[in-house]
Amino acid sequence: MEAKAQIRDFIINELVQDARHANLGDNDPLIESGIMDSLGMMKLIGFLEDNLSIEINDDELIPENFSSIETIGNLVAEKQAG
Amino acid sequence: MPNFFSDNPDLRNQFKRLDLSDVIAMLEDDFQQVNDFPEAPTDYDSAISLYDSALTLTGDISGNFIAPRAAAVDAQGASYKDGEVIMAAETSENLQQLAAAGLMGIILPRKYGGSNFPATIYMMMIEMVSRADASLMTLFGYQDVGETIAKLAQDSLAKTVLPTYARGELSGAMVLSEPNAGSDLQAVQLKAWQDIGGQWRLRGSKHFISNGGGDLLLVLARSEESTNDMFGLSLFLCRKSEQVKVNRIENKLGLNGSPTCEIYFDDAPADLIGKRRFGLIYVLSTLNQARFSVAAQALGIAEAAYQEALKYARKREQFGKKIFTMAPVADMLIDMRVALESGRTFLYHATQLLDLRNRLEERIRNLKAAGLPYQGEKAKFDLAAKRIDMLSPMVKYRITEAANKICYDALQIHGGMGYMRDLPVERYYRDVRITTIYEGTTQVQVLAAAKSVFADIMADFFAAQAATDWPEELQHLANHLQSQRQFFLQARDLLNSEITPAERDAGSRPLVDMYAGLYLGYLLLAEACLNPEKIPVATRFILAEQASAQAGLALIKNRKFQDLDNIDNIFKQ
Repeated sequence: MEAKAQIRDFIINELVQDARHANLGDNDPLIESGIMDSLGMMKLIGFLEDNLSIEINDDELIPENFSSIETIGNLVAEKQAG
Repeated sequence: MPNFFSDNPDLRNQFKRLDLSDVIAMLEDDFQQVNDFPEAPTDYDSAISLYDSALTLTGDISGNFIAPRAAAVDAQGASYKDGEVIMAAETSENLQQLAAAGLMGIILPRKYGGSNFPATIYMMMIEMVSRADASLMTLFGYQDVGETIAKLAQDSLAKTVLPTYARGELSGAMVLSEPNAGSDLQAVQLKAWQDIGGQWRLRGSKHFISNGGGDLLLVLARSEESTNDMFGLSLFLCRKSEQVKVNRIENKLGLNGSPTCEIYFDDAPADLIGKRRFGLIYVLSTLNQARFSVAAQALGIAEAAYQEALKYARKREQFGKKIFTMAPVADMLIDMRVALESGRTFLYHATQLLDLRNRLEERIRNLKAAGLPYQGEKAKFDLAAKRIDMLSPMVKYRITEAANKICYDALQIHGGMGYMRDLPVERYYRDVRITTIYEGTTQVQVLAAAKSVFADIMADFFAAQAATDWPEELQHLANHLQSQRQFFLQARDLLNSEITPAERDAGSRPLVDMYAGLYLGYLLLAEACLNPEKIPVATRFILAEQASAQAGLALIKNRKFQDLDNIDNIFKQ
């Protein structure tokens, strides 16, 4: 499964856990909508590190990188390529 | 003379039925630590024997040294003079006893002078110490400050401060809350800045800091200018100095021996711990253990209150008979005992999972670093982590609320005498009150647990339990649990239907209660199968929870919470 699909599955199944967000789009806002709160961010970083072998550096922990499934996918792709 | 471990058959029973074999093997590096540390256990049995001795020692100090001093600690309290926090003399003596017994670095790794014990054993110690004097919890129960330093700080820094911390010569505090940042820590504003030499400095105020006059302060601060969210916060270790000023200590309802401080950081030097911007994430990762610590504290206070109530009810005569023989009083006493014993089952079940989760996390990190496969460990980790995410807020919520009810009832059983300062029960009633508030209020815990409850993360577990062949004499309890499961599913579907978010949030509390009752009901049923003495506890618990579940479903069906859509109108005047 491609990284973005794994991220989407994780966010829907582990962070949202609510049938009403099952159709969350790749560009839907995660932070403003409250889907990604601080606890969610902690779990997501653990997921990225454990499952996609990505380590998030301090300068990468900024809202722009975590605002949507799309931006998280882009960050992961960039790190995997680099 | 009471030993709070050996005089508590239920706590001993919980200890005996622990299954920490995987946890201890990982914690002890497959029992290789003994090569570097002669005091380390050589196998599972020697580890259990070591824990048994340490628990017995803690029980002895708690029952025979700390408990007799608790009234004096409460009366004198911590005080403040000329910028200094002064502990009650008895508090200092208590800490000296615990330190001399080697109990102040229980969960720290041995390389930093600690004992390398599982969190479960530490929680049992917190329960006993809190039964003796709840105010000691913020000193004895803050060993996770050291654990966080061990995990995140550079080794050289950890080696400088932790051995003295483990010997009890230094104390610590988590410095998080500010007037506008309590449950919502994203709002923290205390400023962290770097001077021209690159030294981090802290400037600003914190309040409601337990043991804020301590030596090692873990401070959450805003290191990134122009941010206002979780992305701008970092964690710092700040040592006590003249630039860390305690402005005052709070005058509180209870826990008088524990100083709750307002602190001002006057450009105080500090060390960054871990990565920049990750501060809130690190703090949140310590939350699970902190919540269980408060649950253990609440259980300890409730145990003390129950023992006092039982003693009084056995002695007190009214209408020509002892009051404990009167049904209304006996019913309260049995409810208290059921709440205590079921609470213990829930807490120590959860802490074993926490230990497993934490040890697997470390094992996976090591396997990855060595380039070895870790998929097997990963699957177990995911399962444990998922349950802990639900259990830590759920257990904290349920136990602290139950403990408050136990202390309320214990005072009630004492009648007018309970209202007087002459007996310790009024102190328990005051001390326990904070437990539903700090480390996250009940309302925050319910919402935190609700996500997993709505997702029904235990569905497979419940299906397996429903398919189990229970002994004939317990089958009726299994049937009740199955009907509870149906009540839960109906209630969840109703809350998932087209209702407003406010109604759904308010309905979360009965829903979380149904789930907790169901989960714990099955744990107690399993315990009753192995130990017939537990059958009365399991029976009363399951029957009561089934009635509550039915009532909870009725509240949701009747749409009791629909008026929350009109909050503005209701409170307009």
